Formats: sequence, structure tokens, C-alpha cells
Amino acid sequence: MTSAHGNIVKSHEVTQLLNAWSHGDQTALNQLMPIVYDELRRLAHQYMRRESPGHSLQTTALVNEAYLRLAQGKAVDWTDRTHFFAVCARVMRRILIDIANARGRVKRTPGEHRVEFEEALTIAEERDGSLIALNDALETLEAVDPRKAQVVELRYLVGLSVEETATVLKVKPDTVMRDWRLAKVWLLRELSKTESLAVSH
Amino acid sequence: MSPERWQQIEPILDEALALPASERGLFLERACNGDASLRAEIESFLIEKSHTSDFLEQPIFALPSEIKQVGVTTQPNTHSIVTPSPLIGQQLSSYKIISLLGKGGMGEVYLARDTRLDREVAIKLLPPMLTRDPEREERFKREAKLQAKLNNHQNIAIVHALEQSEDASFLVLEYVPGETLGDRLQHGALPAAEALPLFRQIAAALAAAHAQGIIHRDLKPANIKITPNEQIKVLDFGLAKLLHHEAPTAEAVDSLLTTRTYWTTDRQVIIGTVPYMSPEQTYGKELDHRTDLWAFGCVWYEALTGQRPFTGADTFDLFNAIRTQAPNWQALPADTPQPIRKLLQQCLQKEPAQRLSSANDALRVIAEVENSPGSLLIAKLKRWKNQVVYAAIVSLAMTLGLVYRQPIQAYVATMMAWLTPIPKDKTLVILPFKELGNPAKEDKVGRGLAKALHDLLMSIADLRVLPLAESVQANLTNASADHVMKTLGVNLLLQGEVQREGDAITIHYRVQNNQGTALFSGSAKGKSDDYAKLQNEIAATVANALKLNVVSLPSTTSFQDQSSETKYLEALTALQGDLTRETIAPIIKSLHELQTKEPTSARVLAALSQAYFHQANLANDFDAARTALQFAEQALQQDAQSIEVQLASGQALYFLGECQPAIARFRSVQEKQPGNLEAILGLARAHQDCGQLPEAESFYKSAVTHWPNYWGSHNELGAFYFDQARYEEALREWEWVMLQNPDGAGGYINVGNALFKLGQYAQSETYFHQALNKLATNQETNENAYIGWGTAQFYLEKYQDAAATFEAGLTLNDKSPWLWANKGDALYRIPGQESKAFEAYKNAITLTKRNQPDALGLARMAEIYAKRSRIKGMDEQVKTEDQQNALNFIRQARKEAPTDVEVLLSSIFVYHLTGDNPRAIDSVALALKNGLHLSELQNEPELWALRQEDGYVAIINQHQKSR
Repeated sequence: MTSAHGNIVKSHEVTQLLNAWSHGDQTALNQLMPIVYDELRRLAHQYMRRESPGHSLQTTALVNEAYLRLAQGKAVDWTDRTHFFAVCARVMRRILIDIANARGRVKRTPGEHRVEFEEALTIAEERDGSLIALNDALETLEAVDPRKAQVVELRYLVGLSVEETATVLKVKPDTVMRDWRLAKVWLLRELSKTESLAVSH
Repeated sequence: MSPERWQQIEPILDEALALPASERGLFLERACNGDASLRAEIESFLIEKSHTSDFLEQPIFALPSEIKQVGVTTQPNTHSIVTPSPLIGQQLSSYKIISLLGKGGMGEVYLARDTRLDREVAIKLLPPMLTRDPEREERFKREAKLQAKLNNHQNIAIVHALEQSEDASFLVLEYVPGETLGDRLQHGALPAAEALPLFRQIAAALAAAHAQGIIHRDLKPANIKITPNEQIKVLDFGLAKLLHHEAPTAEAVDSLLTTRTYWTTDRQVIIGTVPYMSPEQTYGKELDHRTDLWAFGCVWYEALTGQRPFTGADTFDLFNAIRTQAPNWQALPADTPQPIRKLLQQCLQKEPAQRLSSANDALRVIAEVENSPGSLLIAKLKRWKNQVVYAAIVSLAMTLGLVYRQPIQAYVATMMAWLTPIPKDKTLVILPFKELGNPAKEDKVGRGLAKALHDLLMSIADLRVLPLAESVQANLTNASADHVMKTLGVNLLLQGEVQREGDAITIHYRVQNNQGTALFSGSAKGKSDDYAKLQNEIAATVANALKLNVVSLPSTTSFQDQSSETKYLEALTALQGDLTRETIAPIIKSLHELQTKEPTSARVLAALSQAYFHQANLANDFDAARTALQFAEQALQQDAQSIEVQLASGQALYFLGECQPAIARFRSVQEKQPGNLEAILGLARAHQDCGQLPEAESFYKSAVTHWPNYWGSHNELGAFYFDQARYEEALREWEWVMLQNPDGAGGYINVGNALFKLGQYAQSETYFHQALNKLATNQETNENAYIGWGTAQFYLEKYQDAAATFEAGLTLNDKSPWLWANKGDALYRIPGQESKAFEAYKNAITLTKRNQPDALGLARMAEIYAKRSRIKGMDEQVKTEDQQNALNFIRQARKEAPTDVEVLLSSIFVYHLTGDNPRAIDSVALALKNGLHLSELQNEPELWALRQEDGYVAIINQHQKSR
């Protein structure tokens, strides 16, 4: 049996933290990340059981379900939701790095949750090498143009559409399209420096 | 790069990206205004563009495949398309064609991605002849515009656009995932309650369209899409007219597969799909909205009965039926609400003037039915959908503002999938409830709560609840739900948690099916000691949600003193745990204390009966069994209907050897609930005890019939066969157990035993070996695996190995007489180990005597005395005494169980080893007659000398001839 226990205790905590973070409290994000991470991990694990082999997981569905669970019993607040997406984008990025690192390791440490994620989220093995490079490139982009980096996180890592990304970032879809276009050429150039164009599939 | 530099680059880069490569040079020169380093830097962004167009385009985590399955098509793609369409992968205007969804009467339909708006759409290619003529094209556009008026209705698929590129005209339609009503009807008719909300939505779609003056003209199951959240989307509204406004060419007619166009004598065009055409349509008359109401009636009729209202061998036959014949109204299922019957009859009036006059009238009738308090069926459905899941989804979708987007659809699909898959044939396992904040070992009320729910739910005839003891013993508390259901062969699982905060209790619970979908969940809240109320609430919700027909669910009667509730559940919880002679006493004590407070509570009396029954079992204590019976009888006086108490009484009677009264008790339960496993097995065992073997066998088989996927029922049947020396049949059942429950060692041990009895020692040995591996994995111990393994080794003449195996078994349990006896046998065969063999036999005898031996115990004891007596170099007096004891005990055993194969086998040993071969041979004959397998005699090293006797050979020959 899974830990419904955790959900019940955490539901209002999450809403509060999201609220605090949206009001500029950066420490709230640090507290949120592990909760969201755990919830995503748990859900991914459940999906694994539910889905037949060969099926893979859709990040958006996962994120939505995580939100529903974490905000259980509370009025689902629209702003909370967009913040939640943003937290998830961070978490997914963290997971991505974990996955890439875990695969790079000769032997996996048993019981480590990143391995479960790795199993649940289908990523072509050959992309791994460049995931780190992509993450590095994203970090550079973040320093120069943070919103464009966020667009990439939301579109590429969380799987949001242009409209959803626009909603989360409170900008027009056209702006997202423009950011997306430019972010891609930016990243391509950055990656070509490290000869890691294999990120594209 | 600094942010400032980037701000400088960004706008120029953006513009440059929008330009064809050939024009960029000029543009950059002007834009950079002679700044060479700026230009070089911008150019560095433009280099890689050509071959990396799909960079980052697919989200890194893959999409699930089910999203891609479905389409707007009027007909599933049944004629397989051998060559992939050349369009796939192509770009049509701003649409990238992804896949062919299907071919239908309206041409080909593709799934495409709208690259501008980044969404998936369905593209319906139109026959070229429709748009060649400018005048026709104009009219077509007008119609498409009219269509767009319907775009705001939630039950009508949206027409996004009518687009034209150089070589094709196409409609851009909302892409609706899900199955069509036609697909769904392929699995059979729909229950009235399931159909009702679907047809409410179809009626709403028709009402909205008719209000705009738009007639569908071709409503049919294939045009009605059901999204994964059970939302209806009517497709192709008005398209029939749009596409067939003018006489189509022969080539177009050929392509119309499901929507037929017919010519009447006056060259009027008939549009529609024949079985759903209205009478006026078959005459080619002018149509109004009432033609849709006819089709609506036809489709609903088909949904409820699984057959079309009008059929015919060919089109003209069918036309005739539509024009003149009445549908078979008897075919509607009995539970069709009367107002719906009447509505369908109104829809299918031949004369439009006599027909139902509007879709709004249909909506009114449906609303009446849905709101009628008498309609239990509908009430259940509404409660179920609206309260539990639907609300959650709608609120989520609304807050997202993304109602019709794909990922949300997929998400909604996951959730809504929970609505449908309630198995028809329901078998439920209830897991012990967990206690939040309470580690499992401090479990206070969790098992008791599960037991209480078990007792409530098991009175529902349409539901088979696995006896709680089975799930508790299976020790699957930490296994996944799927694993539990698979192992126990059930298709539903109820589990939950108890949360206590101060004075309040919340019980969270949920039910899921074996397809991995959660069916529903809920929370019951109350004050401490409100358990009785909460139990009743949960049981009622579960019964309701599982769509069970419950006439009256028994409810738990509250105690006089509220505080008794918790004490009672604690005692009940303790009773479901691992019990020993030591732990049962305090439970009995606390139940007696409770009884002084609640002297007339049937629940407490029943629990007392069960507690004493456990004591009887643990200590082989007949007095305790009699007390158990008394409490059960008292409980029955308080509550004569209680199934639980009747079962308790039956078990106590059975224990006391009162097999006929036990049968009567079990039968009274089983007559009401043919699938009650405890009652069936109780009947089987009691009949077996009474010596009524055919009846016993039929009940064991009945257990398998009612619980076909539960290994426990097969295990019992196997054990029965084994007892009857029907080893091949036992093997078959036990192999099933082993496959179904591969993690349990029991199946392997039993298969090993059956193979052993069939003389297949080498195979038997491997199964015992595997059993020991399983036991080690599960951190369990079972001396029987050692006994089996060692015995197989013994028969394979590996005496050293056998002795070592028995020795290993003894380290687990040095109180097992069988292990000591077998160790003696093995040591006896190893030269120089005689005195150790003597000691082993001696221990075996002492331990057997201690446990009030039954017939089999007496026979084994006799066998051990006989075996010990032949050890060389023994004191003569001891030898004589051993032989005397052997003969005495075997006499007693034979008296108690004259035809038991195991007893007879022991007597062969005893008589042979005490020098009485004639009697040994008599026993051989009798044992064979009662089913002893020949291999047990032929391979037994101990009986080598006996096998040389003429009498023995004669018996064997006779036996083999008779088979």
C-alpha cells in the first residue's frame, strides 16, 4: 500500500508553500521541490505498474495528477497551478540530470529513486550524453534570458503546449513562440560549441 | 554573452530567422549598420538551422500511444491500407499530416498538427469535384460558416476551418479522441443507465443544431464520438447535405462507403445511412429536423437492444421495413424506464407529424427520468459519476482553461477510465486497513475494521468476498494491489487507512480493479467510537459504487456503550492476527469483559465464538469448541440472519465431529450465497468427514467453480484428491496453484508431494528444492519442505543427503516427529549409524505421543516402533517391547481409520517388519484397493523382502490386471 498518509498531511502545506513562493519567498521553493519530487516519483512508480510495458509516461498527465493529489481537498487555485507548473519544470530538470548521471554510473545504487524515474520516463539512451550538455546550455541561457530558459523547461521538459506555457508565464502565445524559436537557435549554437547536437532525436 | 549583448542581438536575429536564407545577407548588413562583430555573432546563430529543424520539438518524455489512436472518421479503417498514404509527413498549408485516421463516406481523414496554433486537428480531405466550380465553392463556404455557429456547443465537434491549398480542399475539424458509439456497441448493448447520459448529450446537440436551423441528416453510431470522459461529440453535423448538395459523380459515389446516396425516380438525391433513414428520407422527400429525431430513436433503440430497429435483406427490403413495419418493442430490456420506452416509440413514428416534435421534448423526458427518485438505477449512476470523479475533473479542466487540449484529454481519460471498468462478475478482497501514524506492528483496529466490512459486504449475493483470513494469511499487506489481486485471483480490491486525530476518526478507502484502475475512493468521517456508523457508511458506498443490487444491506447495530466500539475492534483485530495459545487467552478475557457491558450484542457473542474456536484449534481443545458452539448459538438467538455466526457455528460443529449438523449450518448459508467460499469449503470438509465422498468432491469442485482464479480453492480440491490417493488429479490442481502463486512455497511443496506419490522422485526432489529456495526468499520456514526433499532423496537412495536434509529441517523444528522418524530411516541405511538411528526413532516416538495422536499419528508411531525394532544389535527386551507396541498401535489406528491409505501403508511396514508377511500382504491388497499408488511399494527399500513373496507378486499382478 502506498503512503496516502503523506498526501493528507502535505496538502495544505503545499498550497501554503506555493503561495509563499509566489510572494517571493525563495526558501519556499527549496521546501517544495522535495515534496513535488517525491510525489512525482511515487506517481511515476504507480504509472509503471498501471501501464503495460512499452507504454510510456506523459509528463503533463503526471504533473497534473501530482498537483491534484498534493492540493487534495483544497480549492484548486489557478495561480497556484501555474506556480506548480514552474516548480515541476525545475523538478523535471533535476530529474533529468539525475537520470543522465545514473546512467553514466557503472552500477546503480539500489533503492535510489532516480532509477525508478528512469524506468518510468522513456528517454532514448542515446540522448543521455547530451542531456548534461543541454542542461549546461540551459544554465547559460538562464543567465542571459531567464524567460527563454523557462519556456524551454516548460515546453521540452514538462511537455506543455504553447498556450499552456503562455498561461504559466503570463505572456501571449506569440511571445512564447518567439521565445521558443530564439531559445532553440541559442541552444543549438551553444551545443554546437560542445559538439553535442545529438540532443535532437 | 552578457544579457545586454543578447538584447541587442535578439530582435535582429528574430527578423533574420523569418527571412529566406538568400535575403539574410542584405538584411544583416543593413540591420547591423557596419558592426562586423555583431553581424558575425548573429550569423553564428544561423548556421546550424538547416538540419536541426526538429530540435526539441518532441517533449523529452514520450507521449503515451493511446492518444494517437482515434479519429473523427465515420468508419474505422477496416480495409487495411497496404501502401502508406503519401500525404503522411507532408505539410498542407500550416498543417503537418501525422497519420491516417480512417477512410469514410466523406473521404479520407487525417490526424494533423496545426503548427501555427500547436494543436492536433483532424483534416478531412474533400473530393476535388466539390470545389472545382467557383459558384459551388462559394456555397460550400457559406455552409461551412453556418457550421461554425455550432462551434460553441460542447456536444458537437468543432469545425475549425475550411482551407484550400493548390491541390486540395479540406475541412479542419476538432480532433476528438475516444471511441465511437458504434465501436462501443460492438461489445454489446448498453445498460439503460449507461445509455441515458449519452443520449441526453446527443439530444442536447440536436436541440442546439435544430435551433440554428441545421439538420444532421446522417446521425448514426459511427458519427457519435464518446470521449474518454464520456462526453458526447456528434460529428459531421450537416456535412451530409454539404457534401451531397449536388449530384455527385460516379467516382464520388464509389467512395461513399457508409453514407449511401440513392437516386429516386425523380432524380432526387437521398442522403443518409440506410438503416437509420427516416421514412420520408427513403421517399426522397424534403427533410426537416424530425428526420434527426427518427435517427435518434433508431440509435437509442440499437444501443439498448444491440440490434437495429429495422432490418432487411437488401436495401429495398430495408426501405420497406422502415416505411411499414413497427420495431420489436419486446426487445427492449426489462429495466428500460417506461418514459424512455414511450419516448422511443414517439421518435419512431412513421409520419413526421405524429413524431416527437423536438429534441427539447426528448431532453425533458430524460431529465424527468434522471431526477425521478424512484429510479434506483439512475440515482446510483448519478451519485457515482457526479460526486466522485466528475466534479474533480471538471474543476481541474476549468481551472486550467484547457478543456479540449490533448494532454488534458489524456489526463481526463486516465481518470475517467476509472468509471467504466467494474467487472460484471465481482470478486473482492479486503485488505487490512492501515493505521496512519501507527506502525503495522501496533495495528489496533485495522484488521478488525476489514473483518467488519467483510462481514457486512459478504451478505450481498452478487458479490463474492474472499474470506478475510485468506488475505491476512497470504501476508500481502506490503505487496502492490495488482499483485494481491493477481495472487488471490480476484478482480476487485478494497483497502484503506484509519486516521485518528484527537476525537475524530477519518477512514479513507478506495476500490480498484485488476486492470490497474482505481474505481473510486472516499473518506468516512466521525467521532472516536463511531466505527459502527462508519462501517455501515463505507459498506453502503462500496455496494452502491460497484452497482450491486442490494435489497437490504445488514447494518452493524451500535453498542449500548459507545466506548465499546474501539475495544471490540481491537479484539477483532487481534483475532485476525497470528494467534498462539498464549495470545488467545487475553483476547478471550477482553471479549468477556465486553460481554458484561454488552450482554445481548450478537457481534460480541460471535467474536467470542470465534475466539474459542481458535483456542480449540490451537490446543486441540474440545471443551473450547463446545464453548464456541454455545456462544454461536447465543449469537444466533440475537441475530438469526447473521452469516458470520452461522459459519462460526458450522465450524465449531465440524470441529466436534458433528458433521451432519455442521452440514446443515453451512448449507443454510450456501443456499443464500452460492459463492460463499467458507460455506462451500465447510460443506466439502464436513461431507468428507462424514465419509460422503462424492458430495465432498462436488463441493470442493464447486469452490473451484466459484473461485476459479483463487489458488486456495484449487489447493483444497488438490488436497482432497491427494487424501483420496488420486495423485494425478491432485498434481493437476497443485500445479495450477504453483503457477498462480509462484511466490508461495506451498504450491511447490504440494507438487513435490504429488510427484513423490507418483514415484517421480527425481522431479519431486527438484520441486522441494525450489520450495526451499522460495521459503528462503520469503524469509519463511516450513519443515514440510525438508521432509519432502529428504524423503525424495531417500527414495533416490541418497541416504547421506537425506539425513543431512532432515537434520537441516530439525534445526528449524526439533519437535517434528516426522523429521526425527525420517532421519532415523536415513541413518538406518548408513552403515555405522545404527545407534544414531535408534535415538532419532526414540525422539520421534516421544514427540508423537505428546500430541494426542489421531489415527495417522498412531499408525506412524506403530511404524516407527517396528522400524526401531529391527535395528541390529539392540537389546532383545526392547526389541520385543517395540514389536508389541507396533502391533498395538497399528491395531488402534486400523480401528479408527480402516480404509485410510496412509494407515494401511504403515500397517504393511509394521506387519512385514514384525515378521507377519501374510497380514502385510493382506494390507497391501487393501491399500491398493483404496488407492495406494503402486510405486510407493515398488520403490520402498524397506519392503524389498516382501516384494519377493509369491503372495505379494500375485496381488500386484491382479491389481495391474484390474486396472
